[in-house]
Amino acid sequence: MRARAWRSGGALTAYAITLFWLTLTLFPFAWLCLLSLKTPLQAFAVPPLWIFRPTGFNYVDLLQHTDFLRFFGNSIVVAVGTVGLSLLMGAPAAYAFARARFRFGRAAFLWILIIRMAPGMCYVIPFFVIYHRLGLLDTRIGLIVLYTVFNLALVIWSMHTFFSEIPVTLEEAARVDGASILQVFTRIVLPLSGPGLAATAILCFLFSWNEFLFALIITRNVSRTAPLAIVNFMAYEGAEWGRIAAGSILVIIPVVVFSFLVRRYLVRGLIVGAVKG
Amino acid sequence: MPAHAGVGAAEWHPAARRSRVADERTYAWLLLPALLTLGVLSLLPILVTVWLSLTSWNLMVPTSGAFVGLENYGRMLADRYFGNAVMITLILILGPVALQMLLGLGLALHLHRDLPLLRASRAVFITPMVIPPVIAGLIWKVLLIPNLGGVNYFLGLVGVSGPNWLETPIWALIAVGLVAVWEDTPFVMLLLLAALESLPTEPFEAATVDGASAWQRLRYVTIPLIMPAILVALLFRIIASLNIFPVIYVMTKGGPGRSTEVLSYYAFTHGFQFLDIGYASALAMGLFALIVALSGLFMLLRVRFTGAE
Repeated sequence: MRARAWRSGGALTAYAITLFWLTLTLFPFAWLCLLSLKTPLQAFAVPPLWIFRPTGFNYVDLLQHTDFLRFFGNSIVVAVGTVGLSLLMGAPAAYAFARARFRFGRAAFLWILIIRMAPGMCYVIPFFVIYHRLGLLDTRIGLIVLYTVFNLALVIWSMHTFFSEIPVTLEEAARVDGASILQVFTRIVLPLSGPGLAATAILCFLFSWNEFLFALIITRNVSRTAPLAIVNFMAYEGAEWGRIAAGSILVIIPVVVFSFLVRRYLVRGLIVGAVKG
Repeated sequence: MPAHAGVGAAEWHPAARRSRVADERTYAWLLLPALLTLGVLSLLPILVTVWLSLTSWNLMVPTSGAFVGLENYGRMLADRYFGNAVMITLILILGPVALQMLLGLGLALHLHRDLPLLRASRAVFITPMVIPPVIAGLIWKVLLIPNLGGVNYFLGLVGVSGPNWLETPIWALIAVGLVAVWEDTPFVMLLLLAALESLPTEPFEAATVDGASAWQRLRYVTIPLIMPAILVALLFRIIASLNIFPVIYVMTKGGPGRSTEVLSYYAFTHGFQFLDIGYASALAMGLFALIVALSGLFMLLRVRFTGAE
């Protein structure tokens, strides 16, 4: 359906609707951003203040008087660890699926679907019990292992698509010249699939970065991640909205940057379960 | 060296066949770590949950943990708060998903044009669905504070006196539902946009030549052609509706009363506030069954309406 098809005023309507939805999308973020730059007194002025002298107070307060930076660091460590472990195990598996004669398609997709359908509660209770026994509660490695289980399916599926797009002739030539499968994989296939690896890595990163339920139950103080830390500012008498807003902005920034980079793969990624737990 | 396996006559060569067996073995080794992890760590927890649901294990009662058979399930079926949680879960799946599908389809149809500004705005549209759901919940919690938050201020500007959103049962339910719509409508929109863009132009040209109106083209050409994508979007929205937990956790904690207490939140309170692991596991399995039933129903309808597979 091209623009021609809806001739009269079609473009105008489209722009109006876009503008409306853009406002609806962006307004909450704008509000959050303003909130993070207001003093507690300005934050809840009635009517709301639109023009005011912005203050960095909330950010300074957040970074100096709370442990937020440490929790932010936990988020980074857990996300990077998850990406590393998932790719390390998932990429070779995806390559084997793409090149060997095993049947991948339907069965694996069904498997992924089942994992997706099982509610997080079905995982978090047993993991809590097992981690309790193993002393892995409130450790970053515990969280990394848990997230890797959920990301492996995504990595295999996503990398399988990318590997399948690489022409086999190149690899066959290398094999004829005496290269082993491992050499072909590491020297030829991986360098060629850089963009695919990057996109997959980012999707895994987003999953781990955004995850809430598992982090809520597995972590306490030592390995607490940033979203949990932000929620905790609500727990005390009267929510500390300044800290919450500043922390939220800091957590959102990497998400926005990364998701912009992988926007073409986002829908595909969301289907297999990235981004949200 | 023998030629690479799978190249015509080389298949017959013993050395080639041997190397093919070796190849398959290498591939199997590449697969092993991932499959083992996936197989064990994704299946085992569910089995453990099933087993836990058959015990009376409570972390606060040291002597608990005996095998009690289906007792937890019996308790669940008799528990009226479980019934309530199932109702709320269904409402918060069906309501938001229906709105997401309608809005997503509408937006996709409108945005499917070669207008440069529209293309650029897509990058902005994705933001709500990629931020952590807890943060989406927190933002809207602030916005919905009566008198102080933005929503009631703007409602006031147009002469509507906004409700006390999160303190009123029905409005709280509507509020968390709308947050879900805000977060995930872009998912449906993007999926359907991708489907629309991959369509051939011929059917539309043919329909136009035949004098079909815009509505007829939509109803008889566009919708049937993107039906597979619509169904995929629908299925994944239903499954992913489980993600409402973080939003409930920060916005309402299941309240006021039990008006927004979805099953996942109910299981959470039993498991991690009362530490009643046995009963919480049964509730988690109940939720699993609910999702499987919904997806199964969906598959049936899909076969019924599209005759697919």
